[in-house]
Amino acid sequence: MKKTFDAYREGLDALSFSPAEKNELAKGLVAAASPRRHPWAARAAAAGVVLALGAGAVTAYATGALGAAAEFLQDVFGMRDEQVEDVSRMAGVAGSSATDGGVTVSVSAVIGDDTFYAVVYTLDPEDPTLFDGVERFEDGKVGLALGPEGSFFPLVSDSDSGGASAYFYDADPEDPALQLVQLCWAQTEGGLSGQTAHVTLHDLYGWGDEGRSAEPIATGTWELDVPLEYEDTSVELASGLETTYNGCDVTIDRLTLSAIGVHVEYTLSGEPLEAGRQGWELNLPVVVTLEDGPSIDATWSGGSGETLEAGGTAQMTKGMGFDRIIDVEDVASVRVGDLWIEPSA
Amino acid sequence: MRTKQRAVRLVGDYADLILRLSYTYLGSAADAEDVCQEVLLKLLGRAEGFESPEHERAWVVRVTANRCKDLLRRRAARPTVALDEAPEPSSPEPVDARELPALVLRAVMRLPLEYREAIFLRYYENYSVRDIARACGCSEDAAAARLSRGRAKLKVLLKEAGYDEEDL
Repeated sequence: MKKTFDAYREGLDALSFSPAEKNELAKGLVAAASPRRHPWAARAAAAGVVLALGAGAVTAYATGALGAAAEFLQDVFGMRDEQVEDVSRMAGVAGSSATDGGVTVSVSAVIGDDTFYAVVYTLDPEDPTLFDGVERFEDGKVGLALGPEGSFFPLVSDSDSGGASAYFYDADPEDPALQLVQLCWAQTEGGLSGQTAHVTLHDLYGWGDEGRSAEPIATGTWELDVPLEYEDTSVELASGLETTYNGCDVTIDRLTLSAIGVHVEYTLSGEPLEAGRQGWELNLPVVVTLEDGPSIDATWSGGSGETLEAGGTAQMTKGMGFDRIIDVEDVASVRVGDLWIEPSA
Repeated sequence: MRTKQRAVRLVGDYADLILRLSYTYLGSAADAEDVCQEVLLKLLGRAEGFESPEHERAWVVRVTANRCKDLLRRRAARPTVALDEAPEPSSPEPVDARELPALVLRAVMRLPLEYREAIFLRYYENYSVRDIARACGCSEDAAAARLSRGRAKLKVLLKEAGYDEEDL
């Protein structure tokens, strides 16, 4: 028996990445993670965001809370003043709240499209001194972390895959509440817009150089519905167009652009020039160029798909949540491979 | 910089583990590499810490297993030949010791999924029966039965392939 399972372990050990492959894998991870995570988080934290929404979010529309949501989103995404009205309309502000362990957690603002979404929660303690000892960082974030249990970020039931980055901040130092922002993406069969996602948050810990504190600041479980009832501004720019990449034929099955992200589904076929390079299938150039000049490069954004075998086909999908809210009408072109697609054409 | 350092650490710690576990489920190195990238990206994007290295490793195993099972569910709709239905070479030759690891791995991969999942966790990850039960979402009795039946079936498969360890 021992000999057999020693052989089994030896057989499995033969399955491994080489040091060079691991290096490439790490580089690919950084590239895939960074564009989606950092611009959103960094800008929001640096801006000292303003959000004054609480548990009364259900009545937000009547009380003008949508304006506050837009104000928050303006700080997070750095939109221009003239966009505020549009963003007020796009944002969804409603959702459940849950109270446990002396803290009420409320879904305060949501914005997104069929793939990308940002959610803001407000954590309001019964004891106004509860968060007094929490570390405050120079970039505007506060040292708070969720416990290891729970679902961490909201997902709809038929999500194929998804991910999120998150941070806590203090929207208003004058009140005892803190905010949690989650910047998420998820892939579903029918798209996210209009669905209700669910999240279970569990326990709150302090966070600092040593990582999570040994003891929780608040113990509780907060189960929340997150209605993804924002206005999806997605437009489909292309379907069936063909280009080439790395020696392969590329068919753009679907290219969509929204105020907060770009998403492309494509099929590769043929024999790649660099078949051995890991993950190359996802590095198809995708660049959004705005009328006033700046470009948003989604080439190194995350995605998923199949490995292309020589002579076969591979279904791929990739996309990126923007670090700003754009007006789709302000987009001059979206480059995919060697194609420049103009939304207005 | 911090993201890069973390990515390098995570790849060093878990890339091979995810590759091997995914291969155990999927039987395809290419698919296993895809899962590896997805799981590591998810881990890299996770804002929360872990209680301990063991907790982090258990998270990686659980998320990898769940992703593989998702893929298998989708794959079930496609007409493919399952590993345990694929024809094996007949007339076994005496086994060279150098070939033994590959032969045993092939035989394990011909076991039903539940058995090879349990065998991986027990004999590669050194999980207890209780931990296997927890990871697989079954009772401890069921986990023990999967191990026992897996070993028995593995013995038969190895014998068919020309290898018979006395104490198996």
